[in-house]
Amino acid sequence: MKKELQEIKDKFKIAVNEVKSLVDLVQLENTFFGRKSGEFTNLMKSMREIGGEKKKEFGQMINEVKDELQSRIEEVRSRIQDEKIEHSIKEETIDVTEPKLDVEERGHLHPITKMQYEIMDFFRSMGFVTEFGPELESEYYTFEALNIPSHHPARDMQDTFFIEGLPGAVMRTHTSSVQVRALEKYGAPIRMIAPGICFRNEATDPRHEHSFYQLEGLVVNKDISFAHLKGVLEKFAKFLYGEKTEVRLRPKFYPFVEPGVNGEVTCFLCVGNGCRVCKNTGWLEVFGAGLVHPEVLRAGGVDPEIYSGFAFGFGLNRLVMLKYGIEDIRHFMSGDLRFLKQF
Amino acid sequence: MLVSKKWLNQLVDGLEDISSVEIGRQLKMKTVEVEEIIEQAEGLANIVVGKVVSVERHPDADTLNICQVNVGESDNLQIVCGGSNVADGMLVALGKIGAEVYWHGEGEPVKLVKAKIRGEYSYGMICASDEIGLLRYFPKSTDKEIMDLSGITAPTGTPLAIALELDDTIFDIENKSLSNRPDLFGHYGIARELSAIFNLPLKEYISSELAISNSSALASVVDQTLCPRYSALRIDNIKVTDSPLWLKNRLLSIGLRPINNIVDITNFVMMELGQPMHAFDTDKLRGKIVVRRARVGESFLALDDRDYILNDSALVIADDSGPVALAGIIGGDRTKVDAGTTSIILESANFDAVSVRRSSNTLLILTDSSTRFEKSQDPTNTLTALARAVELLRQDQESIIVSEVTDINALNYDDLVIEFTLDYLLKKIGKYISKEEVENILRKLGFVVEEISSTFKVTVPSWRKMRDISIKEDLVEEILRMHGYENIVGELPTFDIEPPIDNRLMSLERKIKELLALEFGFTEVCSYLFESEDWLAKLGVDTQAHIRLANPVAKDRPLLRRHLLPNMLLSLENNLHRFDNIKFFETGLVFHKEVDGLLFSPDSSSHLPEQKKTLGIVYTDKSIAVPFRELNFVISRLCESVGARVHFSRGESADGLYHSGRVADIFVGDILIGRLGELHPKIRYNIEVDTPIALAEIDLETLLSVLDDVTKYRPISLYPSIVRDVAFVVDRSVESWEMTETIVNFNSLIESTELFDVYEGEKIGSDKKSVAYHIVYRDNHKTLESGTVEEIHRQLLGVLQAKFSAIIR
Repeated sequence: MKKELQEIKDKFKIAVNEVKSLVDLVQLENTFFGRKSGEFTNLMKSMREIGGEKKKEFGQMINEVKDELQSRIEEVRSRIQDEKIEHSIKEETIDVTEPKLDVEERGHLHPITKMQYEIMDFFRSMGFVTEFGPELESEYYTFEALNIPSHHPARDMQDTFFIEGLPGAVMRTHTSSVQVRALEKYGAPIRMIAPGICFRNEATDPRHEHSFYQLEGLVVNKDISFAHLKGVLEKFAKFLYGEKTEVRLRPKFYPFVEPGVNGEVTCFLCVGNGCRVCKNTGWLEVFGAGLVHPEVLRAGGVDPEIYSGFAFGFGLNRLVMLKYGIEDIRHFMSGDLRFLKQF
Repeated sequence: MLVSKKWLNQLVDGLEDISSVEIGRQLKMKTVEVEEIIEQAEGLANIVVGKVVSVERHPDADTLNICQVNVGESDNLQIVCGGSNVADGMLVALGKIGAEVYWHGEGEPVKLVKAKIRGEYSYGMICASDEIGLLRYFPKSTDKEIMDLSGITAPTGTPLAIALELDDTIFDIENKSLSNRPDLFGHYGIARELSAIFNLPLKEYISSELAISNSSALASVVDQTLCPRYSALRIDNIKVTDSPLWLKNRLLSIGLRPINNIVDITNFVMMELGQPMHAFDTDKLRGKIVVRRARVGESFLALDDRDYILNDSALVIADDSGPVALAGIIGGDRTKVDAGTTSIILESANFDAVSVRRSSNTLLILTDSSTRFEKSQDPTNTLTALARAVELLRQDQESIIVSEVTDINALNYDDLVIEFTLDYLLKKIGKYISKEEVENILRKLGFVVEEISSTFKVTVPSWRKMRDISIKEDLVEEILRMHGYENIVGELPTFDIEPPIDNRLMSLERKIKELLALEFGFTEVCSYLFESEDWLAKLGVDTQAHIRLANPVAKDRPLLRRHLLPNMLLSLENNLHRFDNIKFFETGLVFHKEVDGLLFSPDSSSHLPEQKKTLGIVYTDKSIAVPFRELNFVISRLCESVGARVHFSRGESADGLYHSGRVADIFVGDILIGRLGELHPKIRYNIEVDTPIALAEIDLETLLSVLDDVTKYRPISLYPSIVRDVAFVVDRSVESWEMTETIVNFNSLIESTELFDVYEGEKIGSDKKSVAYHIVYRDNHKTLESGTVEEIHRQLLGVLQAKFSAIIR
């Protein structure tokens, strides 16, 4: 018996070294441990004929050999398995830089929309409502209510589109026209922004466009001061161009604010040192702003002796042009997919 | 407007010690927009006074001379010169090596180097006036003329800028930034600002006042609304000469051409005080001056040598024979001052700003005078200007005889007093500014200030009350800008933490835009709101109902859009030769004059036209035969995502834009929200497009009104479903939605159905289609038995056969 066991062991050692694949391994298992006629199985069967102490001793021996051989089989199995996976990894290796072919084009929001939404989110986070107002607007809301009477030279500055057969109506020349409508609708206190398209009757060229986008802001409450205007503009400038951005205000006349200012921010490109974008001044002119003129508050039904406010406005086209270095304002309304695809 | 630093220096004590850069910066921060600071001498570096000591003909060129020029050094410079007037002993402007000159007065400046001209060395250049930017000072009579500096007393070698006193600094101030400050249209106004900014004393403007008579000895005014004040005086025994050099230089430095001593002085006073003046030759006037409106058709030959035909809205200065000046705008040729003039009437008047502006716009004449009057000048300046002019004339001609001033004045000069408190100022500015500072700022600017227990009573000076300052907010600006905007620390306002009211239409619009772009791969386009008649004609769109611009920027786009689609189609067409696949969307207002929109004003009963927020989509793909289906899918999904389940029904074919066989109305429940279709093939032919184009337009306000949460939860069934497929042939005219509805509603055990195949082709007949549905059966209370399903399915087939004449396959 012992001898037979040794023979099987030797035979197994030779056979197991010849195993090349999982198929070979199954065959090997079958040869030795097959339930019906495996050599080892047969040996175990023949153990039934042995009795007594010897059986116990032999049983122990045979179990040890069985464990040894079977663990050897598992060892080989796991080696073959590993080799196989190793191989398939090599096979499956791809050019990870190669893109997916025939993809669907992605869609694009208009760059003005993207800028507008970012700014709307910023002001909404500070509690501002958003208003639109009509684009074909009355002269009352565009001019008179904003303290711009018909003979005022400020109306010379606005080249206005008029409507045939509809006297007193114009294509709005600025989003400031929403100020008094919003005051009528909400009263004071109010925090409002009004983004939208505006129109000036002028010939187009790389720097001029008769249809363009603005965003207006209006804040009215008790005791609103010039320092508040500056504070909000500073927050906004930092939101646009980073924490280090500074705001500089200079006198500028607008009939609907008093005092009126023109707001500049430190150039985001050169950080105020002077470059091509800021024409070597270090400053970018971005806002018009000021404390709301009492006549405008009155037009909106708000008592200027109780309330005060500030308003500001800026061109969205200009902000987008500065951000991306766009050279020609006419791209925005061109509908040219080569332009729109880039955003 | 150009402003001279040297001129300002004479009006403010101590200003010469402050650098031009600092003056420019402070003006910019506190007063006006300074566009440029120009150093006159900058372009004249290395150009000196030279004396020609010998002239020899160039051996190799007939038109050139070889000159030896003394520039104050021991060695003379040899210069090759082509100047026609070069002569021995002549004083010239000599550009040394390193000077920058303009060849023939054109292009970019070129730096002079040692040159060899036809074999002879030249160590610089004898300059013509246009070669060094001095043509205004030294006009040329022939092309090859060099500058003749005879009369210059400076020694040779003196820098030209110093010899010619061209060492001024000029501030170029943007006129637009002065539009509300008539007082700043003269050097004295700017000087006053600077005296306040730098806290320096401003000089008194005139030394003595003139004798005034209120008679109408020299003039009468018919229209006192348009001419509230007319002041004039007569000066006899006067000689017309060239102006002295200092006066010429002042005018030249700010871009004015000297003419003669009289005209130059009127211009000088205008540029100093902002008050335009005019001189008439007394002997050329016929009768007394009358200020009146022009007669219709009256003609007038102006100083610009042009004839103007006037109407009665224009104000003129006239004599017995007709107009001699267009009031406040331009003088006339007939009474102009010339070399023979010995007596003048000097006019210094105040004209209505709106009237001057209208006449100047109508007649297309823009002068320094009209620019000033249309901003509303200070009427007290009429007398100040006369006094100044007389003072200046007397400097050179003591023998002139000056009449009393005729002063016809319809204005009263009530004081304008504005009151405010320190507390008010603190609230408006957000920073405490001391009583002393407030008073100092206002006083330096010419306000009279009285302060009683922190309440200020401020009297506004005449030059600020025309339109500039009328309320206390205006004074806040004065104090704030002089205190310095940069000295205010920004802070955030305090508000109740109420959430902003949601603008639901805006939220819907945004959600739709983001879904279309980010999920469905569409690109947002922004089109003009203005449409072209030609383009609409090509699209077969009727323009009767369109709103028209009265003054379109481009004659070819006069119409205001009623739909988004026409201009979107134009963009699509423009891109089609570059792209095979175009998916555009746009949201925006469309305008309908037949429907009332918002009111013109709270007091008005008129309405603006309706303006509706609309979504438009255009879509084409050269590889897709029925883009309608693709867009149908997009719209269904899009609407579902925002909270609306849409269904489609065959649309009216009346709208000529759409393919009558491929157009559907879009409904939510029974509310029509828009239309989907393909562009009519005839229009495609008109606009030369081969591929089919799908279009859709949705009224976002209507969509908003029908939104709901369309999510419906059903408990997850514990029991399995059984799926049966059915395929059958029906007429092509049978609509899919009807069959689907029939199947789903047939029995409560039918959970859902899905159309998974449609076939049309010869095999089943040209007017037929074969459709195939998955039908899902489920009982939520027990496991379905196949017998039950078979029975229901059999009955369903029977209904399909009966209702749609379906042939089950």
